[in-house]
Amino acid sequence: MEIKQLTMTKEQILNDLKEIMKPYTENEAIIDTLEMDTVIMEKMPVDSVDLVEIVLDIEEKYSIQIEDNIVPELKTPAKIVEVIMGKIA
Amino acid sequence: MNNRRVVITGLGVVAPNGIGLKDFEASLRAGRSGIEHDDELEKLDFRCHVSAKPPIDEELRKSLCAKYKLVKLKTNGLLYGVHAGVEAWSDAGLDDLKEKTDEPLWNMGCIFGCGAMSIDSCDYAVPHIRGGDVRRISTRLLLEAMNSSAASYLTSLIPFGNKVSSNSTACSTGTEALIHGFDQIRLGRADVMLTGSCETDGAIIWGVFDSLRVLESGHNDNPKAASRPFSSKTRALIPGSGAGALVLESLEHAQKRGARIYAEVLAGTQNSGGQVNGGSKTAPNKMGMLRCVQNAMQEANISGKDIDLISGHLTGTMADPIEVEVWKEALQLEKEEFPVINSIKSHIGHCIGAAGSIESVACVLQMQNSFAHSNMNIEPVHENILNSIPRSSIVEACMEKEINCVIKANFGFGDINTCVVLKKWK
Repeated sequence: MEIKQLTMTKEQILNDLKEIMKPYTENEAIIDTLEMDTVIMEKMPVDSVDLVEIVLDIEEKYSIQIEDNIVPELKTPAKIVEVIMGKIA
Repeated sequence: MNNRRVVITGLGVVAPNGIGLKDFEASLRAGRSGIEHDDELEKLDFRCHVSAKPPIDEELRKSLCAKYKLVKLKTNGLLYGVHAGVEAWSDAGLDDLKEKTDEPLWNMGCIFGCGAMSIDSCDYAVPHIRGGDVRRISTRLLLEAMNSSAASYLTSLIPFGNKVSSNSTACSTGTEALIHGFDQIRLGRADVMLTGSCETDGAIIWGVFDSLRVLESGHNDNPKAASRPFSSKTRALIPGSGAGALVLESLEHAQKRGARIYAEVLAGTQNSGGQVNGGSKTAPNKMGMLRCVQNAMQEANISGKDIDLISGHLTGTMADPIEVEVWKEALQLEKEEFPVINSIKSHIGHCIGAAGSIESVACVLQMQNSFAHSNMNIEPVHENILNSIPRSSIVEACMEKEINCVIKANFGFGDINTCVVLKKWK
């Protein structure tokens, strides 16, 4: 039960993440193909400014603060979800 | 010097009296003013309570921002510039080149100017910075605040590989952008250049103009009558905003692809009055203005008799009679031979950095569709103007007229002058 709930939460966060990312990409269809282990920069043509902007949006959405030294590690949705869950736990 | 012929093949406009070519031309023909009462300026105790802004409501703004990926946009000027640029590109029949490949369009570039790009975003940024919350400022602001932001965003939509740049010479900005694009093509450095300019709106950009007492305050209760080029009942200008864009192309390239050609650019000249002999940071030296216009006529190899329409800078200030004297002296015609003259500023105020581009689009539309738009609110015409030219030259009501050659000038703060000569393509 606990594992299922955790999985659902991860999926919910992934969906939130997709919604946050949509305005920043020219091809929104790509967003729907994102998997947990997708390397975001390889799949989505977003620039460095957009990446920072996405981090700001995540911080605002979950009322958290992501440390600067962690930002370079946020390469996949899985890593982002992990950081978010660690912050909101 | 390589001297290739340069033509205009695309137009785009976001003006206070119309979004897009169709609405803009309809408003020009109908004499529909884009000047409205401005609640914000009144609330903030400006002297001037009227302004001219493109009619973009929240819903349209939202959809345009989504279309152009202008996420969290904090300035209007950039939106105006991008929208006008995209319309011009499409109007030129070049939409198929928007498809991105790995190869940039090496022979095509963009020069898109602005007077004070994104200055209105200070409203958002300053409280964050001064409040010690710099960490949460939208980083998009950096991309919006660059003077080259319109050119940069347009390149994200159209993969230009030639010169991509911006320019800024106050009220001369728009015409200067056209001249830069013209030079780039005639020198053989590019085949196609998207040129234009934009300006934002609101209290932040217009505050200093109000403080400088160059904004009209005598017609706050009657906005449509507030902008009065040619009239002696005028002291100051009406602030405006928007964008204009023109696709310039080498004649050879345009003909090769079978493009619709509006007009040929015969000349484009720029100089400065050096801020001497009456010129200053805010006023033009008449010698400089005259020389700029004369140089354009010489470069175009035309005389005064060849000109069918003068599109003046004519802001509705005390400088109008001086400008008309310049036209009179430059054209060297008998009074009754003087061509018709108009200024769009009675319709849309002074759009500062965007003025030259919007006005150039208007010039091409008037040539293409054979009409000369009206000058509104000219009464009583300044007596010094009537000493220079006949009253009949000042177009009072929109008139159907074959126009083959237009000369257009803008004179900007910094004593910077620009002039272009355009000829209808037949």
